[in-house]
Amino acid sequence: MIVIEPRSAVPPFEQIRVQILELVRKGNLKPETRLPTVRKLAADLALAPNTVARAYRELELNGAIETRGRHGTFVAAHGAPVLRQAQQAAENYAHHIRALKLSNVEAMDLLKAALQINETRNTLEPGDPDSVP
Amino acid sequence: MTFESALTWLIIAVVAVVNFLTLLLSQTGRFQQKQALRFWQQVGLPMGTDKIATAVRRRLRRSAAAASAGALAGLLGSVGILLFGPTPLSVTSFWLVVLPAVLIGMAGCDVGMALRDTLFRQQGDSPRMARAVPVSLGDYISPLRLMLAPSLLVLAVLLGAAGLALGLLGDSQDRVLQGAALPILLVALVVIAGTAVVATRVLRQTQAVTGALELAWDDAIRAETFRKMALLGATIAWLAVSAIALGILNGLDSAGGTAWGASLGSQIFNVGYLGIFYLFTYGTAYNYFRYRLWPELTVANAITGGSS
Repeated sequence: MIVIEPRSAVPPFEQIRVQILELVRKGNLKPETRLPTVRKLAADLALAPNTVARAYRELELNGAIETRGRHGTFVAAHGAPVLRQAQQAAENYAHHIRALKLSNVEAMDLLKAALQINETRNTLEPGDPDSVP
Repeated sequence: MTFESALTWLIIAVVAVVNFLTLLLSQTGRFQQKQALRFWQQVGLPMGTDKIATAVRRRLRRSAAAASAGALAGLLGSVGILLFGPTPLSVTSFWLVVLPAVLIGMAGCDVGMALRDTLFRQQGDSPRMARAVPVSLGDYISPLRLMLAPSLLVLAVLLGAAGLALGLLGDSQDRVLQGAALPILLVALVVIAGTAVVATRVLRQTQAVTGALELAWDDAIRAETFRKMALLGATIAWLAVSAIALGILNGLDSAGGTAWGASLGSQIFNVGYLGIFYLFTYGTAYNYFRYRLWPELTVANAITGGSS
């Protein structure tokens, strides 16, 4: 269920976004579950369609949900948000490599080396990977 | 006036009086109270607050009034068809003209009211609740009840084709084409296609609620609308099956010089009507949605939240 508190200081689109994320996290909304249409949810919650559309858009940017054209909006598969973030990081890396005018081979070598260093550090400090500078 | 036509007019008059009385009675507090109590027992949801009780009672009153008014309108229409139509008045006309017209009028007005009315209304600063997952027709009505009308329609079409084939062979002497069977089949097609379209519209309707229990009661009213539409579709489709099959049986009887086919067929079809009525009245006819959408919400387990 999604509940909107009109008296809350939190904007309605944020209330929707947070509640859908929470439902996904708790497993109440399983991957591949279809979500209500923007129009239907907006009508039920007495909100403007743009408000619900904005919540969906932000959820889609986070990788929590995905829109499949006319088929509707679905909860993304659980691994998808992680993959999407990794893809974004890879794209950023490629952008920097192009800006530095390095070749693909050099870029791959640097990446392999970085991964190797990271792996070694994690092995040395297994309990606290975040403490690695 | 023959005995048969007098009997038909008498039946029509009784139907008119019963519906008129129901229309009047639906305005009395005692009738509304009994109706709300019966619906509450059939649905099996906790009533919760006075707001819900008042809303449900108001909705049931409006629904009963709309259904009675629709039945009277259907009756009036059928009387017009009987007076000015080509077919002579007989008890068969009651089954083939009056009954479908009354049922269509009754369900049509009731569903029309359901499309315009909402059980609850949004209030300014109160919280608003909505489902995170869309629901479908299958959440409100069991697969057997849902598929009965289309299945009977398919059966009617197949019987119609068989009847036409027999007519071409000369066995049934074109009785299927001569009788009211094909118009009834056409009416059944239109009704079932119409109910499918209306059901989609009902599913798209706004559910303006502030809590889980209000949403559950809104679902109960929706489920009742779908039950009535499915009952209408199944009855009209069975009527088409009966009319076509009786046409074939009459043809076979006249070809074979017997009379048992049509009389046995009539009895089977009457039992069929009772079976359909039973299927849409007992069992999980009223509370199937509760098992699907609100399994944790029962009278013993009052306001506890809902499905997501």
